[in-house]
Amino acid sequence: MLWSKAREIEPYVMSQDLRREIKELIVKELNLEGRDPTAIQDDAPLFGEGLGLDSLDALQLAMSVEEHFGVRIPEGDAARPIFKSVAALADHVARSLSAPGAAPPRS
Amino acid sequence: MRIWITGIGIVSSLGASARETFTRLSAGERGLSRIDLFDVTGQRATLGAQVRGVDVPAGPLWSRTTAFALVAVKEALAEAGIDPRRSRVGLVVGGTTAGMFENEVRVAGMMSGALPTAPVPELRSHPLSSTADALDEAIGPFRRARNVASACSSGVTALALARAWLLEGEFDAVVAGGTDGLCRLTLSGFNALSAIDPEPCRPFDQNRRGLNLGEGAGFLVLERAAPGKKPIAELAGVALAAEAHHITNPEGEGRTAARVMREALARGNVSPADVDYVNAHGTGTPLNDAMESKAIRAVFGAETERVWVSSSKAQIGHTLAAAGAIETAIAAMCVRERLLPPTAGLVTPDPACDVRHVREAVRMDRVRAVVSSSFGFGGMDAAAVVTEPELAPEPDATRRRVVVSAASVAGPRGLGDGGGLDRGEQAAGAAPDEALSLDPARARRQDRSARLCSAVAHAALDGHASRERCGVVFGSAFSSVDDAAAFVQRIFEKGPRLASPADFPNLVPSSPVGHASIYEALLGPALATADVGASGESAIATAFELVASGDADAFVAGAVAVRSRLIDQVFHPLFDDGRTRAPRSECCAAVVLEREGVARAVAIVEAVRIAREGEPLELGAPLSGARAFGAASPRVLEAALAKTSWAGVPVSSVELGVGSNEAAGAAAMAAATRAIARGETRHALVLGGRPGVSYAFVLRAPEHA
Repeated sequence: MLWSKAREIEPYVMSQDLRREIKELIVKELNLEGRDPTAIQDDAPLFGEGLGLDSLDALQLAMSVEEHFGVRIPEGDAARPIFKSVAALADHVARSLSAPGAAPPRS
Repeated sequence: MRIWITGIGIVSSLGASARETFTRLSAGERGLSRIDLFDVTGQRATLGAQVRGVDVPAGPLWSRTTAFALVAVKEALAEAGIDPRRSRVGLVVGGTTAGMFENEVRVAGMMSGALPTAPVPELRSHPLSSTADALDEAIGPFRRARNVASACSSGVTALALARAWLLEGEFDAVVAGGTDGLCRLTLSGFNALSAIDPEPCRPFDQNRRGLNLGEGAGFLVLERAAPGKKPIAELAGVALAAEAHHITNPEGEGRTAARVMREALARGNVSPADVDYVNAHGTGTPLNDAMESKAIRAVFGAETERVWVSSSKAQIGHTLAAAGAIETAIAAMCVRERLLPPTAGLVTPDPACDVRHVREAVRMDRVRAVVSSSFGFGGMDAAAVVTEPELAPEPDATRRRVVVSAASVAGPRGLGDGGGLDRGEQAAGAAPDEALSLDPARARRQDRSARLCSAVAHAALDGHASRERCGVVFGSAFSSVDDAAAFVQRIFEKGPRLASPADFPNLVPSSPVGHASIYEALLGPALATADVGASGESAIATAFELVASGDADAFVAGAVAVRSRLIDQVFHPLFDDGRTRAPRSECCAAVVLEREGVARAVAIVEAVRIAREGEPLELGAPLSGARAFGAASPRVLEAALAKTSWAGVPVSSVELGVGSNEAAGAAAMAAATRAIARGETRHALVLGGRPGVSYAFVLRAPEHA
């Protein structure tokens, strides 16, 4: 939970670090063997064309984000805008972590 | 040959008999409740079709899964009036869980170190083969027994193999079906995939959100038609195929789903105009039901407006390996009772599921023919056609000769036609990654077993076999038991919400063949077999039987054994009495079997013999220069040969690195194939087996060679 400590850090640096961390998570969790995380564009689409990921990857990524950051990704269509790109996913994570009483509900 | 269904047995959440299940299905009742078999705290969805009130016999071989099978098999045999102790009866079991529920806590504890890693007798119920072994002990001996798995189409795969066996003419009857029990692993896995509707599921409804898991068993007694026998219905046709598309998602247009329905109809000489009802796979997931509806439209065309369709899964849940057999049994009862059960939970039909839904049970004057479809992870599709007796012209019963055309082995010494294994060199460890030469992007979802199967299938096929009707079958004794244990351990540590959706599909026993089928674009049947130390032999025998019967034109068939702490320290000591306890080397071996005439034959498969303990192996006479191959020591092989007409033939003992290894029989088959290909012999015997069962394959070079 690296991001629990990071809330006071300057926003620009924070978002760059968070994006880098998410890219590393994608490469590792989705077994994108031999792929350089830094080569993933912040705004490139993650699914379909972009990285060529599919719905099974989306489920794995949602689980990994929840494990790694303690942030839940909503199920179904609500996840679409969040999974649009690394930048969108980083925004969702950052917003969830900085929200008052940020600890996500556990069912 | 006509195949008659003469007995049916079902265990479902609606009842522990076919009659009770069918009566309550037709009344629209739903057997769903909160699962209380184990702790479901933290699971996204907790509703399921749990079976209650079935006793599990005492003894280490028994699991709930196997107990369901016992009840259903006994019901089916009783109705048919068949006793395996008095007739020649075969048994085919489709299953994917066996004793997972009973053992998952224990193996997870062994993986985490919380429990000592020891061969406790209760784990005898863990391998898939425990079901056939327990049934054999309880009500056998069966003349031949086989465990098959093709995920959620396993039940229909078992029926296809039973049909192939009946074609041989050496069985009075074959009892075949499927069984599966609920467990933490499958509930957590399907929840991780967001595939479960937290509410009662709604097949074909526009608000459907997924399936409800169920459990149970379905078995059918099949016999060749003969005067004096009284059939419930006729099993007119069965067809198996693979989508070669994706490990969890169905191909959206339903091309393969349509293909198996068409093929099953064609093999039974049944026309779409004869079909009155489709008992659909109808899981209630958004993808399946839309795909399946498209496939039904494609098969039935204008007839779609007339043909009734329903799914039984909203009432008895998705019973996984049992589903295809339970639903084929339901199809037979529909024919006999002239009654069609409804799709429960269907309120607002989805326009994307534009078929003629049975909303409430429909009473018919006749139900002439029924199609039952099943689709499994890895794109393993199957369909069965059940008709009124003698509705259509008699189906073809021609058996075909089978040849072996190629071999491939991967092990610590790399990948090749013999992998260096028959040179007797000892090597421990794993196959070098670079030797497998897989495309990393296309193989990224594959675990170790899947990578080995894909590499070996690729090398064995080497571009010369047609992919259209080529299937793939690999044997594995204990599947991915270490990974399954780790998956369950993670659920205990982190909660079910953090179960890995990507890891779960790889824990399905047929996953390695599913991956190989996708990687190599093989569109024929894909399935796994299990028979402890003879898992490879059982896979090769299965391929032979399904090519001979015309279910496929070719098969890549073999076995895969990956390195595993639990297998080395727990399962081998339990099942491999007195053999080496060293950690085993990795090995994957396969041959290509094809129908005669379409292949570049290395050898004709002259005979496949499977003998129970005490039965003689009928092998015929060896040609001069014949050789025998096997995975046991030369002394053991010579002793086994001494009891046959091949006594005194020189033996080659195939060494598989170190440790006992269930791929050994397949490696011996590969070595024999290579010896014939190189002209070292013209007649080869491959001897394999497990305690209590011997397998023998006789290969002969073609006459003109």
